[in-house]
Amino acid sequence: MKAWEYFWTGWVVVTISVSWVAAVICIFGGAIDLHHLIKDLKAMPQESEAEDAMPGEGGQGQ
Amino acid sequence: MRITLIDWIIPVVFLTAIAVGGMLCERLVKGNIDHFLVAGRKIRKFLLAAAGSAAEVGLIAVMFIAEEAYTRGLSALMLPILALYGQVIVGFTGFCVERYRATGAVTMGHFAEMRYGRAFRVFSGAFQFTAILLTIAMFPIAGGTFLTYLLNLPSNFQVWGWAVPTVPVVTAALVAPVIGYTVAGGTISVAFTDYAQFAIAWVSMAVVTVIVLLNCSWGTIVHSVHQTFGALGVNPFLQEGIKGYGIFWIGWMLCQYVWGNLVWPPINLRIASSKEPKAARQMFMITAGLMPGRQGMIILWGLAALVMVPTAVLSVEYLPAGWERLVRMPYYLGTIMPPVVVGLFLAGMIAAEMSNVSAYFMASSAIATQDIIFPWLRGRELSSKSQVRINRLVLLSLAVFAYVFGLVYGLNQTLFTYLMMSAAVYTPGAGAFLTFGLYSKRANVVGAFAGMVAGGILPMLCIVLKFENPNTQFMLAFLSYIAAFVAMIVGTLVGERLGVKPLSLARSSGGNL
Repeated sequence: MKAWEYFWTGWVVVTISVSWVAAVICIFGGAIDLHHLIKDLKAMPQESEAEDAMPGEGGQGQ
Repeated sequence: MRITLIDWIIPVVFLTAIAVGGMLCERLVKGNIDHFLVAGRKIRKFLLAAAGSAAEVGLIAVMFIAEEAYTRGLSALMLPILALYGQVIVGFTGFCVERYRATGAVTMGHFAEMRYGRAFRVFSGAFQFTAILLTIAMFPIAGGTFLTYLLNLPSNFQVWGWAVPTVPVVTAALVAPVIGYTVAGGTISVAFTDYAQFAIAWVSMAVVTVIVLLNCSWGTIVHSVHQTFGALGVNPFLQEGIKGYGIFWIGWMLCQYVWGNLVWPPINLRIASSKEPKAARQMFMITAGLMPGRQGMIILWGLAALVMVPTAVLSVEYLPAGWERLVRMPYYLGTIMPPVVVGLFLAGMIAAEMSNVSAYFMASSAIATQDIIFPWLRGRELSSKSQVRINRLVLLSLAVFAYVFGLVYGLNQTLFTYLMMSAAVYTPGAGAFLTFGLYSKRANVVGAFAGMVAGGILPMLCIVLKFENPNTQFMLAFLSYIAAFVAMIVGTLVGERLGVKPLSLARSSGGNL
């Protein structure tokens, strides 16, 4: 019983600490990625201008 | 709890900004179905991880994870271990995920058609749609119930002499704007709003975790679990009635957390949206650091609620059956949070709900249209704009269904078990056809049909027959994975005997999106 209690205590401390660090990295990294996404999508043509090609049709890998 | 004006202003301003931002993403869709469903396949790893993580934890997850803590004690901390294991297996080895992304498939149905043909796409799509429909039906009611008890609102209020229950009203007010911006902007909206929601939800969860620990120490929690559950509360390998998990549950979850990560529609759509196969794998590596801690924090809240809130103080007369177990934690949090923190937490939790609901409804409408409706319309040329319009109509219909179903359906097991069992109608069979489809050239459509049926039948039995003993359900769910993979192999061998030729991904025409 005691061993399990120590194990869960350590597990909670480690996971919560690691997740807070990972969250900070994701908040900053995600902001940069979002900026790139909007830039990429703005550069793509309108549906009416583009050919009506579907992803996956006629080949592999987008 | 004292709710001040600032506590209402914080979430209203934040959520309005998010909803408007999400709707503005409509301009980026440009009438293109590829933009609507997979954001033009331009999403990079950190945004994928942030959005994916936000999408997987909504108010429903907050409630069912906390319920596991009330019913299993510290053993509930097995959930973060399994979450870590699932992310590591997929993220560090690239198991299935890189090969799947490299196929260019947009949905699992798309992959099913490329590898096993159109008939199997529709067949597996029906299983997938059933599984996710049963799941999302609980989302709106969970959000409405959480907020009602967090804010300690009265269980009903009077309108022209009629007693109107509060939960359905709060539920409708919460879900309507989410459906609005998801209908407008599709996956681009979802990625944008999920990111913003991820940020606010994390900050608020961190603050609340500190407050919970100040209110109820870890030592008190451990002592209380010891008294309430005994060994069942700390050893997850033990099981007795609703307490503890047992070996079958652990075996089932070891499978569910790997293949569920790959084939479950909202996560699968995230893989398809990634810029490249490597980014899809990296998303899992990053979420390996995020998910266990997030679940750990919620379990901590649930354990503290177990210690601090006697069930007798809760008023539950207007809730569907089974939901009375779930309201303990939101009620507890409502009693300990100071002003301003309440506003921040409200914004964070509503944000979590919005990202979760939008991602799941988006994925559900994609399955219904791409895998079931459009394959039946073969021969009619549908423009990309028409496809977007049909997707939006389906999305609205699903929202109405989920709203009504959640308010009338009673739970006879923990919410987590119900949701996992619903998902298991699809995940074992899909795990089998995905794995063999990516790694074996011999896998054929006969095997895929056999795996799908064998994997789905046992979880469906559990849902329909509602077995009293949870361990029977856990055992059948675990066996469903073994059955699906064995049936896939046997079916493929039978198919070879019958002369069925497997479709090759390299030669496949790709099928329709």
